Amino acid sequence: MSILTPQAGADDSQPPPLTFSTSLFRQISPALYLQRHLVHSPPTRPNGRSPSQCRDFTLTTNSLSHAHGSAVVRAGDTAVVCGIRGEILTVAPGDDPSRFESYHSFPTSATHACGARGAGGASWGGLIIPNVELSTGCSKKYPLGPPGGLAQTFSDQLHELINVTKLVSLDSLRIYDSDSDSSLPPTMKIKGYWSLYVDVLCISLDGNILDAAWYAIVAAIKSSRLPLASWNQAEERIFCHESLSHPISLRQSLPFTTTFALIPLPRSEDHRNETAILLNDPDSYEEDEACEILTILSTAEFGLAGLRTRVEKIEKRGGWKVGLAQIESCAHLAASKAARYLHSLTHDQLTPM
Amino acid sequence: MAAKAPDRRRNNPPSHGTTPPVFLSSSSSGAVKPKQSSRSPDEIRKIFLRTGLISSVTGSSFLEIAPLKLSVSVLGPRPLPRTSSTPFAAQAILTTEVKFAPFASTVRRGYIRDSSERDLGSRLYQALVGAIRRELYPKSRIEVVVTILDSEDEGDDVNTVYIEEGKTTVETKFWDAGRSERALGVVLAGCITAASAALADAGIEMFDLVSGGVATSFVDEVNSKGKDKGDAVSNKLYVRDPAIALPEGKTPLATCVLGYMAARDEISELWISGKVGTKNGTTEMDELVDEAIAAARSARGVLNEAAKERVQFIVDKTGTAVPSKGETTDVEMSG
Repeated sequence: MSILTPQAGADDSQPPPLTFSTSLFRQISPALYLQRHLVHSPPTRPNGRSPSQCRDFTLTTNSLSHAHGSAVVRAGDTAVVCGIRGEILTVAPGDDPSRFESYHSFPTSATHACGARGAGGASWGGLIIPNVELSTGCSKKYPLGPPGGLAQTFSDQLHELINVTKLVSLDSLRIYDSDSDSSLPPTMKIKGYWSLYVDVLCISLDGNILDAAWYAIVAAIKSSRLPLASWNQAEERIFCHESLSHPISLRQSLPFTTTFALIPLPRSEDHRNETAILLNDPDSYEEDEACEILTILSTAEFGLAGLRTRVEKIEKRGGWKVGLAQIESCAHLAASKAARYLHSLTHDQLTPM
Repeated sequence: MAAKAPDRRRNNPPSHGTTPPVFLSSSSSGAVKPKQSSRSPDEIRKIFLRTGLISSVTGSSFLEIAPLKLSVSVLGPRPLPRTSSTPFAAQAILTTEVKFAPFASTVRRGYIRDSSERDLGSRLYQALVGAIRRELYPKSRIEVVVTILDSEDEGDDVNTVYIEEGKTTVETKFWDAGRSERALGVVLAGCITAASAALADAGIEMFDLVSGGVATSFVDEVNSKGKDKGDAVSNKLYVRDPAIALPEGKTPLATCVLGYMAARDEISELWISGKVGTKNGTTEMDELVDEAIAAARSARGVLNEAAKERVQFIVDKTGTAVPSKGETTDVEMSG
């Protein structure tokens, strides 16, 4: 680093200027430390990556014995475990089952503002219930105890992502009365639903938990198998079959998120034309200095014409100006990341339990 | 599992409430045979222990014993908050928390800690508090957080309904009194071993590493039922690190879990549940405790290796002989 005065080479005749070791500099002035790295050409992040480079990730599915499906995702020093647990929701007679089959009959965060949750109350959820737990001692910064703002934000974001992307086709969660009269329409035979508890535990937190958690959720749901359940007329309750099971059907093209951190960068001496640099897959040190987070949801699927990726959603919450070219390059990065995610997802699918 | 009121801080299930799946077994004759382990009774299961996997905390460890998987992180020592209400603490305040992941056991656990988790937490505290040199860290606190990701819990027959000639019975096939003690005992022993590895990784000064050990005593099924208990020398079978599945034709008597400091030959935590009596001059309890100590000694070997491995890693990385944790967490500057 050119800006740091080497301590060893200081002249003896005059008092040495105030110098810091790099590790101390990193602690006391994180913003400057990060900027000095990024103004270099080529820009290099303190962790040695280039701005567009993401961390390597590993995926392990179905390593837990009690969950119906599970995934462990490790991206750099961020590690999350996602377990899927199916429980049965029995439809009471006279209930309209169709209300469970819509992703929008339950309040999403858009309606929360005027709904019960916005008024300080809580709400009951839909069939897929994601929760993120950060109080696992995953980071020094995150306090133990009930979920704080960050964990609640992530839980809500993931809940919304599941709703917006319609990740799971809800009719695959139906439980039918198989013995009943076949002349009845299929919706009349619905006796219950599988309700999926999606629990994401963050084991180690080093930034960008959203991407890791979302990927873990997609992988875990894809790998899970629910026992075959059916309505038992004699007992009037739902029983599961001991040995038969079925997968949960997901949508055709799988969505994946890619997150970028916007770091303000003084390009010239006068701070008028401030620019920003986008860092792919930020770690927590970079996240702390970011003025904004950009998340791109892109989908990937293997079609007849090979791999096809699309942008499904871009979330940038205003504040900083980013050029179209920058957004475009991010979209490309997100697409290639989605392709990598999909590749490792299809290749990791080892023998399902 | 219909909750009384929705949790305001989490996403909640539909208001109808959901129930765990109940399995239907067509015949009770096809009983699930508990898997017999090929281990000998005095052999403990293989332990996988690795420290320093979580970079953002002072110390961490990950432990795996067959199905049991747990992750421990140590936060601190860090200063107590400076408020007028904080009392002066001449010794470090240790807090321990044990939490099962919702998907760690057969029946889904909620996020709020239940009584068994609190119980495990206080026992872990007891096992560790004597080993840490707390007087070296005044006015500070050390937090030990254990997250259990997977455990060998009650078998799947908890939620199984058996149908016999159209008639259903909800009873489980065999009633095993010591089952939950054995399950919790194995978890607690794992917690103790992993937590002291994490404390060592955090560089917290300790008198000795504490390792956990479990042993269960079994008797033959006939002996426990028959009245010939007095004279016949009923052969007791002591199993170290017992699995949930019962050995063939045996009934559990008592389970002992302890935290043991091998170098000082001290027991920091002792938990015996079940029936122990005296016989032939030697007390059964002594035998049981000795077995548990032997299990703890075996675990200690793994603990030593993990600590050694970590020190070697730090020495290799820094190139110095000072295994200081603070130096390794720094990122090397490049460019």
